[in-house]
Amino acid sequence: MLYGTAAYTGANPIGGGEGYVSQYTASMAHEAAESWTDLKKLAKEMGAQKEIWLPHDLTMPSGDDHPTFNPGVILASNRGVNGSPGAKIKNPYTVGGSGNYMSPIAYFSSNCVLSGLTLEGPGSFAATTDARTNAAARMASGARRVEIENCELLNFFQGGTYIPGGCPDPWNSDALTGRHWIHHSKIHGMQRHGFGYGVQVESGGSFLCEACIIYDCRHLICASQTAGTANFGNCYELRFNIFGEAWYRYYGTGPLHNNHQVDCHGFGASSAGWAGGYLWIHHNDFEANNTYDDAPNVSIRGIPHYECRVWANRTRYLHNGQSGVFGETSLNPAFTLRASDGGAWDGENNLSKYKMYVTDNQYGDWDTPAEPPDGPPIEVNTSDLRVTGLETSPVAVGDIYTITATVTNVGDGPGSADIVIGYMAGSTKRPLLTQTVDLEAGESAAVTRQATATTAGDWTFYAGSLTTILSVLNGMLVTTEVSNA
Amino acid sequence: MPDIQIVANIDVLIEMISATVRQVTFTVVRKTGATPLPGASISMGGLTAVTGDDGKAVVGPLETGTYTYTVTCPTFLDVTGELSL
Repeated sequence: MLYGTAAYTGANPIGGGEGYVSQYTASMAHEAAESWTDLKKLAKEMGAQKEIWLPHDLTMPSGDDHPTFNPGVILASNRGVNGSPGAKIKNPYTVGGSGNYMSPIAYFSSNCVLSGLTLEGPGSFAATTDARTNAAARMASGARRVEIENCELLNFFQGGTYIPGGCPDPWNSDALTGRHWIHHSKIHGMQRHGFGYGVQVESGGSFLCEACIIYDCRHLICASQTAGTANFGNCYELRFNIFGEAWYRYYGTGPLHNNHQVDCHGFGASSAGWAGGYLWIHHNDFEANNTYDDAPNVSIRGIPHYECRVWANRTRYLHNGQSGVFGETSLNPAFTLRASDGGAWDGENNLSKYKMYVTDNQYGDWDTPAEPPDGPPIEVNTSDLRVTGLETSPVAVGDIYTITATVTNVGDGPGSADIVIGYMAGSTKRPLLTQTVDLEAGESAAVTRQATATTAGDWTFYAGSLTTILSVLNGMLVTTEVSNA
Repeated sequence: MPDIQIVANIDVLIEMISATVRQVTFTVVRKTGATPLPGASISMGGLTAVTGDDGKAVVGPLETGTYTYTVTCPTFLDVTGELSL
């Protein structure tokens, strides 16, 4: 069993930046925004799948308001490519065009993509209770499947990104009508008392946050109750993230406090106040969260409408050995993850009664593994023989897995190539099988690798220029007994 | 004699009705260690249930017939099967 980000097998670095490979480039762009005026104009004019490139930094003018990007528009720069920080859009002002609230940098409609940019606000606001809140990047109300990749969001009143509604059915759909996707990004510096969220969802929205580094916010992740909202209410899945400290200044001028890193709150076990819908928290690293207080890693204040699952995370600090899960009488019933699984909730050692499943997490310090030695990429494709398909299916630990590469000779004559199937260790290729394939023109053949799956997790395999993910899961046994009802 | 015959018919009828309604008790355990698996979702015949701390869940009532069931739980491989009631 691999815990936390040790189970991460993606090719891109967690948090994005240096080494991130994006599909969006300057050469693919349809337009470039040289100025803030350009950007606002293009946001309204461009349509789906049209890419706007930002070649350099922009600053919002004083008193101006955000653009709203049409559905499907791509806004991109090159954060982390060849040492570039990527373009930054900054809003240095705490008052927007409305005269009351500061302006977010942008509203995004369904299927927009924000890639390789930095969105920066005027400050972390730890020393204020100013009411003119807003977030750096807002999803338009009810929008679906906005993607934020390889971005840095920092220094806004309310938070990094704000999601108002739009929960799909099912809640974790990754289709174009599905949940929002925030990945390989760095979010920090949102610390206003009462606000200050890395990612916030309200009014029945859903998002997947993965491979991000989030720190120095009042809460790193936040959701609230779901009464009267669409589909499954507020839902999130958090995986492969590195969660740093959550902290703020009490009422702006008081003492510094730590706060729980991941939050969801409702008002108890009633339909008027569920604490979220589906909440899945797995394979995350929770760094110590105790500079000012002994604050929990996860706090679910209320009962989820459907379920909260917390598994395969690792949490650095043991919190003075307090029990893992216990009730908070002030918002009863509640759940707090500090150290160790199981434990009591509201006096009962029966978490599943409250739809809480806290299992198989790792507690205490862990060693940071050394990076695997780099090896040269192994290219198996010749000009004529190509890997045209790569497939696998999920298996249980202990079962035999199969990786099948389909090799096709696309040339005009006979050809031969050594086909390699291997797995990705970070961005390094580790060959497992090499097989020579001889094919006549137009012929295809299968190369397969079979072995016993020993460790649960998602493993990326490659052959040629293709990759596929093998999910190795735990096994379960099911028995049934039929009786008269 | 006619009265007795009517009572007998009613008894038979009641037995036939109850015999067409079934329920299924599922027991789900981890393959490794065979410990109960709470929180596994079971769907069968349009009904759903979630296993408790003892790994058990009851699905029903269902009419007699043949059903396909699916058991799912995050990080576990789905299990599907067919059951005749």
